[in-house]
Amino acid sequence: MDAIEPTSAVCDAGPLIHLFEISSLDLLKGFRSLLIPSQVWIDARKHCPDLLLTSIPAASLLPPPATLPPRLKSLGPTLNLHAGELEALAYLLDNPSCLFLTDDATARIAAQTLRISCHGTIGLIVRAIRQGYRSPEEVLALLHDLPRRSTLHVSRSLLQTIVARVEREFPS
Amino acid sequence: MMPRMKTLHIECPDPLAEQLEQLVREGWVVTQEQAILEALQRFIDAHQPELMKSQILDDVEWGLRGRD
Repeated sequence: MDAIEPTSAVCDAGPLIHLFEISSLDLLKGFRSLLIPSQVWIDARKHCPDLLLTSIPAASLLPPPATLPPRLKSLGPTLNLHAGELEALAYLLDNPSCLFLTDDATARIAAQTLRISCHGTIGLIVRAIRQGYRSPEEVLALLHDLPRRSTLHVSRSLLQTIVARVEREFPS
Repeated sequence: MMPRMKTLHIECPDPLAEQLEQLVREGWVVTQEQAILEALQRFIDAHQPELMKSQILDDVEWGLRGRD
């Protein structure tokens, strides 16, 4: 079977903050490169002053675009997108094979509108199993810990659904 | 008939409050309340629980079965 070429990813503040909170920034590995818009980095560091770029695998900062594409100039205010999200989407419009990592609901709506693939922190945590970074038991422990350790907003019932899904996939 | 109204008290950082006051002074919005209610409605519209749930469940399937 041919090896799968890793994708590059552009990361919003949410996954950086939430994975930092659960001491799991290493779950961002496995991408060819992890690009962080400069405004996203500023926002993430406001929440997590101890966050270091060197602690994020294959990470580099993206400079802000000179101008925003017209599509984003109208979409941004409509969806109340933050500057960091706009920077990310501007890059992704020119590089549509990249993945967008975000937890923000409106940023995800924008990505979907622009046909950009998009996933969030929960996906990165679960992905750790198939990537071999964590065992199913370790991932389930992380998921159970989210309400206590993280500011990621997930309803209790949804978290139970997610845990049940993972347990069904990996029965103990 | 007027809908029932609830009073919310919030603390707002000075820079944000000043930006809001400027919008009112310059006539972009009629009142601070109008702007806040509009922003609140937009936030709620974009954060429907069923939408967020489907986004996250899609994440879980990608986590389990994705190729990247």
